[in-house]
Amino acid sequence: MIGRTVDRLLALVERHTKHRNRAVRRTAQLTVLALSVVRPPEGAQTPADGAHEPQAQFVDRLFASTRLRDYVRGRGFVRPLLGLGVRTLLLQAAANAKSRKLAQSDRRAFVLRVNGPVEQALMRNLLVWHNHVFSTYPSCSDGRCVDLMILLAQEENDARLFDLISIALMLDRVRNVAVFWDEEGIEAAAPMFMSGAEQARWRETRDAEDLRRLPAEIIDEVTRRGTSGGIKLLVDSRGRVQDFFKAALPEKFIIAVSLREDRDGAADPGDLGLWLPLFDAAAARHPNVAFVVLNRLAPSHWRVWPSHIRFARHQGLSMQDTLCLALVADGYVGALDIFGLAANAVARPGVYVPLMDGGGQRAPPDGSEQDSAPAQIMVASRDRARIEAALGRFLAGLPRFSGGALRGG
Amino acid sequence: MTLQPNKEDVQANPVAAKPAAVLGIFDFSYQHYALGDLLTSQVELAIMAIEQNLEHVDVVAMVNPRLPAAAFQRHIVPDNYLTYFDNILPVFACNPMLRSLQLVRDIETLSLMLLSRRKSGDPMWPAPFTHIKMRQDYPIGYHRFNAFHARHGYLPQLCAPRHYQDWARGFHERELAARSLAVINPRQSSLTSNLAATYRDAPLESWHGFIDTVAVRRPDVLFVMVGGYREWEHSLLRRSNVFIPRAFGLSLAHELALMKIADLFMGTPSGFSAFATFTNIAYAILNMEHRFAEYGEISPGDRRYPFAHANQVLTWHRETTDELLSVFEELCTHLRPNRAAKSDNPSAGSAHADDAMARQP
Repeated sequence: MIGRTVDRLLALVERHTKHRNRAVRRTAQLTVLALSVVRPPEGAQTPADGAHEPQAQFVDRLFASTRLRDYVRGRGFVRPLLGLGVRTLLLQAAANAKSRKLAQSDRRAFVLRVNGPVEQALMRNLLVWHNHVFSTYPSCSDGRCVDLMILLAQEENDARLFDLISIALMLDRVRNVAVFWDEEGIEAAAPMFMSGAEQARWRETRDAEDLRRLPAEIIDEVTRRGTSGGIKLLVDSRGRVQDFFKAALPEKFIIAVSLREDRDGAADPGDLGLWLPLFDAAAARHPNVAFVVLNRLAPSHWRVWPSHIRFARHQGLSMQDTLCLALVADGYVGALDIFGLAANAVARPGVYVPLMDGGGQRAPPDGSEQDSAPAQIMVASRDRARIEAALGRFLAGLPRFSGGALRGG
Repeated sequence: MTLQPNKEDVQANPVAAKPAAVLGIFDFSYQHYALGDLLTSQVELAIMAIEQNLEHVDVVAMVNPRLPAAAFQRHIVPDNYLTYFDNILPVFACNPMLRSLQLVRDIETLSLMLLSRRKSGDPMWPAPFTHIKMRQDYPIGYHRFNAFHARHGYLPQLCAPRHYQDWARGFHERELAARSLAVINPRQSSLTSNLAATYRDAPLESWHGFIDTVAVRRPDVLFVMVGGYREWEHSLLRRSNVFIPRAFGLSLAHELALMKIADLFMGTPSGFSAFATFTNIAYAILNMEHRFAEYGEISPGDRRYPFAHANQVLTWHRETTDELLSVFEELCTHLRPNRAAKSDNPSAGSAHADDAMARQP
C-alpha cells in the first residue's frame, strides 16, 4: 500500500524535476530523492522491472554531478549543508534501489573459480565464458550487466592476475569485478552482490564455474567457428594504438600477432621460432605488410628486429591497449587466445590457429580449414605446413596498394 | 600467495578469532589516483586491522564511470578512466592483510556497502562522513604511523603485489642474472601528458652522470628504472647497466615486485618512494619538499623518519652527481653480506644478462 502510494507520488513529482523554474525544479528533485528513500526497500510489493528506471537515472545523474560535489565541498554554510543532505539522501536511495534489485534478481552475480595459474588459455576462457556460457542463463538474456566474483586458488607464482582483471574490466556485460583469495571473503561480500537465492545456492553447492574447465564442446565450437563481440574498444586505447601505428609502421598493412606464451606470460621461444621465418618470408613477398606482436618478450630473447616486426608491449602499450590493437589492426595472425578471439569477434581477417593441439579440440571431420567469416581462416591444427599454407592464402587475398596518395603509386 | 599476512612483513600481534575485516573504500569520485597516497593508505588500513585485532582487510575500489575522478584530476574522464583505474589496481594488492579486492562500478552497490557497514558498526576506512562530504585530505599524514611505531616498535610492511613476488625472484635469477638491483625513480613529470609541479623534476644530467660512474665502479649493480613509459629519456635504453621494466612490457605490479626484492632505492618523493618508505629496502628519498615535513612529523633537514632504519635516508635539496654517488656508497655499505659477496664475484650468468641489457628495445 505504502509502496504504491509512494510510486504514484513519485510519478507525479518526477515530471517537474526538469522544470524551467529553478525553485520548482529543486523542490521536485528533493522530493523525488526523499520519496526514493522512504519507499520500502524490498518485499512483495516490488513493481515490475524497469518501473523505477526514471528515478534510478535521476539518482545516477545526481551522483555524477560535479555541481553537487562543489556544493558539498564548498565554503560557507548553506550550500555545504544542502549538499550533505542531498548526498545522504542519495546514498540511502541508491542503497534501497540495490536492495530491491537483489530481492528481485537471480543470477546476476557469478562466481568463477581459478584453480591454477592465470595463463593464456584461462584468459581466453574468460571471453568464451562471457560470450557463450553466462548469456545462456534465462535470467541473463536481457542484455543487462552482471558482476564477477573471481575466487583464486593458492598459487605462488602467478604474475598475470592483473592481466585477467584488465580483460574482465573490458568485457561488454561485466560491471563489478571482485577478487577473493578464500571462500570466507566471498561469504562476507555476498550480501552486496548476490540475491538471497544466489547466496543460499552458493552456501549449499559452492556452485562456481571453473574457468580452466569450460565444457569441451564450447571450446571446440569457438575454436572452429570463432565468436562475436564481447570486448569493448576503449576510446583512449584506440588513440594510443593509432599513434603507435603511425609512428612505428606508417603506410603498412598491419597484422596483429599473438604467440603462445610461457608461464610468465612472455612469448614462447619455440613458437617465436615457428612464426618468425613465416613473417620474414611474407614480408619479402609483400613489402607493404608489417607484423605487430602483442605478447611481451623476455629480455634474454630480445634482439634487433627487422623493420617489418614490432612488439607493441615494448613500446608502451598496456595489456588493454594491445587488446584494442587486436580489434583495430588490419588483420590478425596467430593463436586463438584472448587476442585472437577478440580479433575474430570483430571479424578481423586473418589466420587463427588453435592455442594447443588436442586438449579436447577436434579438427573438422574432413581435416580442412574453416572460414568463420570472409577472409577468416580457422586452421584446424598447429601443424607448420598447414599454418604456412593458410598464411599464404590469407596474404594472397590482401588488397594491393602502393603507399599513400602522394607517393605516386 | 599467502592467505595470512606475511609474518616478516606484518609482525602480527596475536590475533583474536574475530571474523570481521576492516573495509577500505577508495571512491575515486573524490579520492586521487595517486600511487603514493594509495600505498600509504594500505599501511593505514593494516594498522587499523592490527590495532583492532582483525585478521584481514577487504578493499573496495569504486569508480563511477560518469564521475570517474576528483576535481583535482579533471583529465580523467568517462572515456579514459579505465586506463587510470586499471593502472593503479596493483597498489591494492600490496596490502599485507588483503582478503579481497572488489572493483565496483555502480553507485548502488557502493551505497549499500557503505550504509550496511555504518549500520553494523564494523570498522571501515575512511569514516562514513568522509564519503558523504567527499573530502579526503592529502597528503596523508604520518602521525598515525609514528604513534603506532612508538607503541609497537615496528610498522606493517607493504608486500609485493599478491602473486608477484615469486615471479620477481625467478625473473631476477633468470633474466637479470641475480645482479644487485638498485631501483631508481628520478621524477620527470615534464615528460608526461599531465604536467604537474615540474619544478620538482629531477636533474637528469646529474642522474645520467651518476649511472655512468656507477657502471665503472660497480659493474655488478643493475639499475632498474621504474615509472611510466613516458617518464624516461630514450638515452637510458642505451645504457647496459639500466633495465627498464616498462620497455619490456612489464607493468606497475612487476615494478613493485622487483622493488620488493631489490637492494636499494633512490628517487624523488613519489609513489615509488612511498613504497620504499614502508618496506625494509635501503633507500634515499631525494630533494624532499620542505612543506611535507609537517605531514611526516619531522623537520626539514631531518635525515630519517622516526620509524626508518639506519639505511633509510632523506635529503632536502636538489641532488648532484656527487651527492648521488655519496648516498649510493652510503647505502651500499648497508647491503646484506651475501649481496656484497656476490658483487665481488659476479655469477657466471651475468655475462648473459649484460648481453640482454645491451640489446634493449
